[in-house]
Amino acid sequence: MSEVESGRAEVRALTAKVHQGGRQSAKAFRDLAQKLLAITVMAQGQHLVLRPNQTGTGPWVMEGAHKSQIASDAGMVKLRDGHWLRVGYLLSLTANDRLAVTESKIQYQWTDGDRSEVFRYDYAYEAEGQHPAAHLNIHALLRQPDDLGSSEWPLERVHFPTGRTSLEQVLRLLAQGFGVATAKSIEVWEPVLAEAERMFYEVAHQPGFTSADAA
Amino acid sequence: MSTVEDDPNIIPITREEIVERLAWAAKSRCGMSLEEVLKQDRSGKLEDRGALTDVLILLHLLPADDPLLSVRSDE
Repeated sequence: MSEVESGRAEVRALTAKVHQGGRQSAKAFRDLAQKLLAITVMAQGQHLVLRPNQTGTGPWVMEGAHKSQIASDAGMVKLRDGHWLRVGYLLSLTANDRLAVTESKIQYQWTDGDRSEVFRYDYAYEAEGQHPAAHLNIHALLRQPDDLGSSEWPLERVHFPTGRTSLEQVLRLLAQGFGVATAKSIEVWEPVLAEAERMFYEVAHQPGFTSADAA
Repeated sequence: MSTVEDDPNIIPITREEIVERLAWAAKSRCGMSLEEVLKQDRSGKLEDRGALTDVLILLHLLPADDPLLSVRSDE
């Protein structure tokens, strides 16, 4: 079996376990995310961890295992470009024992400390406050000339509405948009990501854009 | 057959670590105390909740009767 075929088979098996629900589905969700990160942009030796509650029956938090050495900060994995991805997923079981992502945050940042964000994708099952339930923040200044010379607007305060953004899309963005090196060649990782992404979007919840958007 | 409890990637987090991370993030990212962040979150007033999502979701791991979860909103 080729590396692509075995990778796709592993992704299908893990996704099937995620869809089965129950306590094991949270573990499978972590293993799937770990697999996708490991074949793409994550540095060697890095990993995701699952944080259980006291009962071990959910909810769980999936996050990066790296803990900052200079601050009470954690939840990241190091990437192959030397920068960092902050990963935080809140997972829970629904009334019919299916695994659901209640909230998630995927943030590319320059250092393993705070205040070094580049971009951040947020998702919440239900919108809270005035911001779209799924959105993108870009930490940069918008520069446009105006009548007075120039103006700058901090884009980090703008919440660009998005649909549900998959982990696979963010990994592609890092590899192709930001030039982060990958563990496997694109001929290997792209078909594996595509398989995982196809199965994700078959069941993924798509949020509305505001808390008032009940239609 | 292994169980989820045997998995080395399933690592419990203590209440003390949750509080420490929340307090650090509240001050470092928002310039606020932990209590103020919790109050604003309860009342839906946090301007950029996403900046703290990774630490606020840790609250869901605490038992329902934990004192942190009873911090009142400003409302």
